[in-house]
Amino acid sequence: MPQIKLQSSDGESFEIDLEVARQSVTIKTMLEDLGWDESDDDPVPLPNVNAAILKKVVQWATFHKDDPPPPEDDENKEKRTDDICTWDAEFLKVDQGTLFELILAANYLDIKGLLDVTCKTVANMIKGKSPEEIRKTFNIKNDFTPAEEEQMMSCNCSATME
Amino acid sequence: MAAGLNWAALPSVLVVDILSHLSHEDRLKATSTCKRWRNYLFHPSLWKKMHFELCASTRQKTRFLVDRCGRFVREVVIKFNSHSVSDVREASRILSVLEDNKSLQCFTLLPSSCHIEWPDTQFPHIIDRFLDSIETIVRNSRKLQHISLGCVEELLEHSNVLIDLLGRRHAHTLKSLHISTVKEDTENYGLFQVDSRYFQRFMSLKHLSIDFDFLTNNLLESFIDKRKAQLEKLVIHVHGFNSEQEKVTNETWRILKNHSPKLEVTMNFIHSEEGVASMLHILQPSLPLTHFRQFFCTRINTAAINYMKTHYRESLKSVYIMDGLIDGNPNLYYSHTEEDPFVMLAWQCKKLQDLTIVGYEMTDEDVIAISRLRGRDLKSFNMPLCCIVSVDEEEQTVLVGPEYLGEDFIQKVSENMSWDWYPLEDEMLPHAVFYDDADAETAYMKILLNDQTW
Repeated sequence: MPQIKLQSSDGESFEIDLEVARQSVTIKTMLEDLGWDESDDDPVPLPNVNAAILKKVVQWATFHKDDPPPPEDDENKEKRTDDICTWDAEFLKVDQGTLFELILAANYLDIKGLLDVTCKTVANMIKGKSPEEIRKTFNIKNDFTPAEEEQMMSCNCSATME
Repeated sequence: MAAGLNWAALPSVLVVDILSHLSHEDRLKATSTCKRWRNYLFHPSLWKKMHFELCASTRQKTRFLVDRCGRFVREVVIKFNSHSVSDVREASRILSVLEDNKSLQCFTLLPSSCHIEWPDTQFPHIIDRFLDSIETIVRNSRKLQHISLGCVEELLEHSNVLIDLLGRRHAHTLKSLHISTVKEDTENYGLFQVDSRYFQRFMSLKHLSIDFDFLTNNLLESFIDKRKAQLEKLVIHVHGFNSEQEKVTNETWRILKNHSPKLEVTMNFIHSEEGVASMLHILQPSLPLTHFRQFFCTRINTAAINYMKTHYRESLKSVYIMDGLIDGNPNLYYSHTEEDPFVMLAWQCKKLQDLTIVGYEMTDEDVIAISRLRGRDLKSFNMPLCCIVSVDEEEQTVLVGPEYLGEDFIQKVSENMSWDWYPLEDEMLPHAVFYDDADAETAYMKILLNDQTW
């Protein structure tokens, strides 16, 4: 199996299977654009992902390397969040910071499966919480003025669907 | 790392992705946390579908949402009481907002009745406003895929204009078109024109509901074209019957069926005494009939049921017959064979999975026979208790009333089908079954509109 070298933002190199790396549309496109072949020894630089996160991403991609390609988003299908597999659930038992960086990395590397499962995990953390609890969970600063807040609440009231 | 952690600053596509996994309620809360997230509450991708059920108590909310999202929502369903002038006015108001929507793909009206109530003294008449809005919507939207006008007769009198416009603007995207009607008076209704040539333009049409009055060889032939999508669902509403109307030939049905092997045809006879009486002139052996329904047609055409048994053995999936009782008593139907025609139907039609017969007398023995013949394949079997009778063989008399049914009658039927079966109690039946003057539409509008959903 051909191998490829990836280099994290903090200069660490990872050698992984080409097939694992190609789950990232970003890397796949980069390799195609560069005309990469097996004899290439230069690492592919990933300036937006640090070593700790890249290690997690590689771990995820290795586990999921034989997954069928993720289905296209079906607009008519309700989105579910209760279909996270056990391995992923365990894998995503991480601190807030790591989860945040994983989402950004999945987005930057364009790995649909990882993006999907991380966004679902965040959604699950929001479910059933009040705005104040959500702020606390995600360390979000309330930047509304009292007047704005009042206006927002009345809008929320109107936007509630029966 | 935690210091740089700012969820509020997550790139917008990611915030929207996260929000898309939340229920509406949770989404409201999440977007109430900070200004940045607030911006995404009305992001168009989060408001693709809107299903409105109009009523006075939610009027403000409906208006608020329509004003915020009506110009970009892709799928709209408007369910309203068409006998309530204020609901009708509100439905028209929503339509006027949708006029500016370029993204609209699916549009469904779900009125409670085929007639839209409006005081004669108020001008312009609301139907004209509906029609103007619908025309503008069709003109302005870029990729319409589905349109259903809820069987409203008055809206569909001008279908020719609508079909012409749809064909010119949406020939490649339109997949589902529902222009069949329910008539207030099936004996006397205006026959407007629908030019079958307009149908030739549609390249992607898969679902079509249309009145029998417009069904011609030409119209069906326009779907026999290799470059086009194959027709999958054809719903035909039969009202009156005019013997001079061009008959769709068996050859046309045969070619259409060969061309579109998945095609399922539903025939709905609505208050159509003439239609049911003339069924043998309408049916053709190659018509791929899957669903047969008749509502308040005052008779069962036994010869036609026998015909179905012979010709639709491989296609017929459901039969739904509903009629009113006469002075509280079930109607009788004539059978020229010893066996009951529905027992024969159950025997012959291997795909039959839904059978409803309301308003006609059937013996407990025949009910048992049907359940035995179809077994667990019969997924729903609706027979009112008040229509099931017992026959006393010795006395040669018919005994009416649940007390005469064998003790284990219900159990036998259930065992035959391997599920818990019960006959329908009176209160489960629509009023129109018992009272002549009750509104019959409530008994079938829902079923008919269900054929027209996206």
